[in-house]
Amino acid sequence: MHMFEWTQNIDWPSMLLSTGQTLYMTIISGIFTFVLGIVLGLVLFLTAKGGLYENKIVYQLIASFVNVFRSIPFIILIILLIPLTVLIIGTMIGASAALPSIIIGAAPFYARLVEIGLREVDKGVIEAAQAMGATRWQIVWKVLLPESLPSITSGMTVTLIALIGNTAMAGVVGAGGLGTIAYNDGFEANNNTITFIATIIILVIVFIIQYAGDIITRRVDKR
Amino acid sequence: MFCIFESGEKELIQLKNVEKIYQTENGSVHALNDVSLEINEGEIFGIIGYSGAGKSTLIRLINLLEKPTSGTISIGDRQLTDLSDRQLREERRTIGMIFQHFNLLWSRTVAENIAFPLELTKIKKKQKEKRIADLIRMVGLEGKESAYPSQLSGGQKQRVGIARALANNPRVLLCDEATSALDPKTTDSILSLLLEINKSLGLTIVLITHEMSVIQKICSKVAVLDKGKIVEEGAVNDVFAHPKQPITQEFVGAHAANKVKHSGDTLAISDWTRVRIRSVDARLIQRHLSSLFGREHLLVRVLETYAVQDGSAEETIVAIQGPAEEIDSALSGVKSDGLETEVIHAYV
Ligand SMILES: Nc1ncnc2c1ncn2[C@@H]1O[C@H](COP(=O)(O)OP(=O)(O)OP(=O)(O)O)[C@@H](O)[C@H]1O
Ligand SMILES: [Mg+2]
Repeated sequence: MHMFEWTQNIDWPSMLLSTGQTLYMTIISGIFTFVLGIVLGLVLFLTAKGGLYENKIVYQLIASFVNVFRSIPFIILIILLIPLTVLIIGTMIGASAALPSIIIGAAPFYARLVEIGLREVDKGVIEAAQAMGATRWQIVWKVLLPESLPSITSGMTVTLIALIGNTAMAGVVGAGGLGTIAYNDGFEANNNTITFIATIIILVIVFIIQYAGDIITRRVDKR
Repeated sequence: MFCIFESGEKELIQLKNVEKIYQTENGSVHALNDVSLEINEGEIFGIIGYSGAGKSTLIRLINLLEKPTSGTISIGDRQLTDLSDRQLREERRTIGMIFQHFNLLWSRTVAENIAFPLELTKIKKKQKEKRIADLIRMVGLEGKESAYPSQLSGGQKQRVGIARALANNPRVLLCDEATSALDPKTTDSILSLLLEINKSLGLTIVLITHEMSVIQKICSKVAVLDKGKIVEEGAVNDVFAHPKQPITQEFVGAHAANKVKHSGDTLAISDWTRVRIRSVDARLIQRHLSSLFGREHLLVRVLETYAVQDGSAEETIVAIQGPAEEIDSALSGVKSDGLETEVIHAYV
């Protein structure tokens, strides 16, 4: 068992497995965060004062949900969400079990970024669409989302990077992934090389996401 | 069959006793006060007023982007103030609108921006593409189909705005300070385009502006808006010739002063020979003016340049001083090129 080895040798298969688990958590929770964040951001924007679907009650409800979950430290959020996790996933251990808390931690953050992006859409363009006889739904699809696309992609880049940090933290409470290997096999076993390698891999993932995100954002921004 | 464009006096847009009061945190703003207007089919109707007079509010009421506090608005036989949201959306497709800041989608190309209003209705793809191509040709943007708005000049952006506004064959075109962000030359080209569209499509145009020159260049009727009230209204010629209200006199006066500025010292030339030069081609006049300026024994000042009321020709009035035979030979040179000249006030 590699846990008891005092050599600096690294168990590459398990490092690879951990990387896979981290990517799995990042991709799955990234997809959910993206969809949920856009929906919540849109609802916030549309129901706000002066919005196309102005509705005080819905706005207050969503706004407080977003604010509360954005403020809770992630490590506490995991513990708070254990009952929910057990309900949905059936267990509280493993990569899948980390997903609900990661998503609920990241989506409200992303929703706010989406909302800010939507606010930057030129009011005049929305008005022009109304003057042409567009329905509210057409305005959402044909004006609001395309015109805020650079904010949507750059916001997602920032969110994904924050989200990777959370997957590592989830690792400490048994989610698996690079966080787990760095803590259990690295720190606990006094094997600094493993911690070091795990850190490097996380950094590489972060850089790739940042780089790809920047390229996509630049590509969609025709301003 | 009756041709609707020929019945030029047919009333199309009617505003009756319209009031608009905005409620704000600092109290209410009475933006429009008992405004009644009738705009005939096929005419270019100008509304002029200072900043804050309520011009934008007024034009936005015509397609109900702004709801009146009271009063009624109708286009043709439809009372817009009575329509449901759905009916209003349908009706808006027959009302085009262009804006001071163009309001194009930066995420769409020229062709895609023009396609926007077509996408809102169920139109076949083939038909849509043909319509877009026609519109691009009409506004003179061939070759720019796949450019993004950020790659266009202000004048080109407004041409896209016009094409987009015309896509669904509207009966009415509303222009909210459509040339205020453009330089004088581009303004003229956009105004000529509007005039051309008015003539060829029989489109009724309502435009608002704070510049009398815009009114003079293309409008047939004008209404002067002051602090939310229409204080004067009539045919542009009449209002220009006999402005009654002080504010109208200000607008007309500022317009005249602006032209004198281009002509230099007006007092000293009161006894010069004045000649009106007229041509359908403004550039031709310009060319002859510069050759007049170049003549050795003549002093030449331009007093006024303007488009004739219906936009069919340009006129320039110049003052000339010098030996009579020199003036004659200069003018016969102008005449020989097909321009009309008329000596208004000979002094030799
Ligand atoms: N949405 C609004 N809420 C409150 N007040 C408004 C609103 N829109 C316009 N007003 C007020 O109504 C009055 C008329 O405004 P409007 O924009 O129609 O003027 P304007 O003639 O178009 O001026 P400008 O030449 O500066 O565009 C102004 O006092 C303005 O402050
Ligand atoms: Mg205005």
